[in-house]
Amino acid sequence: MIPDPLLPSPADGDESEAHLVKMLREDWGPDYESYLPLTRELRRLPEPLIQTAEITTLNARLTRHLQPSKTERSRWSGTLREQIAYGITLLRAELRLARYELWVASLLIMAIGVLVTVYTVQAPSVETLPFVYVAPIMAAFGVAFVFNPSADLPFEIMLACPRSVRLILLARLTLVFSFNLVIGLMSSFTLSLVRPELSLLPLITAWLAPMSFLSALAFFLAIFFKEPLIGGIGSMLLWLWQHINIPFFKAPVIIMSLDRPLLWTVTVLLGVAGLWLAGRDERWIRGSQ
Amino acid sequence: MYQTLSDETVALRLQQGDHACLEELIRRYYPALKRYLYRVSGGDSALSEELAQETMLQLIKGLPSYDSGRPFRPWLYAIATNLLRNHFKRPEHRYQHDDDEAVERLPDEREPTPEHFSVAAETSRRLEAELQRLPIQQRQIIVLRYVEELPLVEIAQMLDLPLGTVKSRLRLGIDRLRSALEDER
Repeated sequence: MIPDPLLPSPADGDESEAHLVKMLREDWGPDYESYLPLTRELRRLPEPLIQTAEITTLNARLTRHLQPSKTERSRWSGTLREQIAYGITLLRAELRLARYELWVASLLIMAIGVLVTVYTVQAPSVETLPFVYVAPIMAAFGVAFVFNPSADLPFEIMLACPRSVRLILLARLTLVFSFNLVIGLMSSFTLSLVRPELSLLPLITAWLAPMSFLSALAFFLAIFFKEPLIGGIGSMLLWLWQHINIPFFKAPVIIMSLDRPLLWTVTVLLGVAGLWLAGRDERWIRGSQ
Repeated sequence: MYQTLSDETVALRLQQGDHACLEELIRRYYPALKRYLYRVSGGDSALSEELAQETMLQLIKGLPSYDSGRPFRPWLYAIATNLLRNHFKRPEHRYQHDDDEAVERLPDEREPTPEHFSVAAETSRRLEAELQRLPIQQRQIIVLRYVEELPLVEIAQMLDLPLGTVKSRLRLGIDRLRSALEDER
């Protein structure tokens, strides 16, 4: 961990020269060559000596200044105010790490859904509105991508943090689902304003339960198969299945359920199962290190 | 284990109580900070060591307020830059070196060596002297950009300056250095 003072500095070597040229091109454009000798000389100026002992002493000195580490248990057993502050910190951290493309894509799809609904609905029946078709799928895809070990840079955080993967995933799930919920509610409100014949409450009821169910299913499938696309596409197929009438091949009763308690129960179970599975993976990942 | 983690992740872990991350941050940044401070302070080895250590101490103290969503490196260099600026604001440092003084002010460990008698070493001495003659605002931007290889955007964030100002100071400083060295040839 301690650097060898005899090792060349980052400013040495061919790679460094190429990087210098790249920087100069960025800064000076076609004139970059006239700056090359000077900047090359700048990088060759003598460097300060760094002793191994200097770093060891610094490390020991700074370690004394560190606060005693808090375990996860002690954080959670703090006062209610501390727990809330901790939860907010976790949500804020995850908010910054989440892919912004997801937010933008969700917003765009929902906006398109609202526009299509406004301009195409002739005889309003909330169950068959384009918006009601689109909202749950959009939410399911968003949620499926909260877990993406293969291409997710923030996944590094999961491996590195003393926080459990379950907690981090729960935070992400909360963020993405809340975002979808808010834009769903805003879209419904907009629709009921623009098309007064559409009542707000039935409109919300039409998409809320399917959205929650498909999101939970996408989350579960993404974790089970470790592939977010399977989560998103699996949910989309199931949703289409409900709406496309295939003879002798009826959609499962769960999703067709009109008395929504069954749908809500399965939703909660899928969410809990997804989190539980993610925790199992965490043990496997950490055990192999 | 930590080598593959980003600076922000290592800082976040340290913030959360993983003390082993401190060593990793020191390993990554102490030498670079010392080099930066050394160059900007005019090759003052003792001062650069003191300020680099103070920067790391301020890092520990400021860690609870560090926002891991923001880039770590500009934050750390901003601490170092502020410390350096405060150091030079002290009354005993409120003067500019004159030309001869700047040329002669070389760090202990480089003097005298046979290399200094060569033309290359002479160029290096002149360049260092000219660098020290620049205003500190230009000097630090030049060092951050071409020695520490920081992107201009990060330098602007770090110094809390508009990007345009950073670019103009860089141009001004580099052109002054270039013309000063060309005049001597």
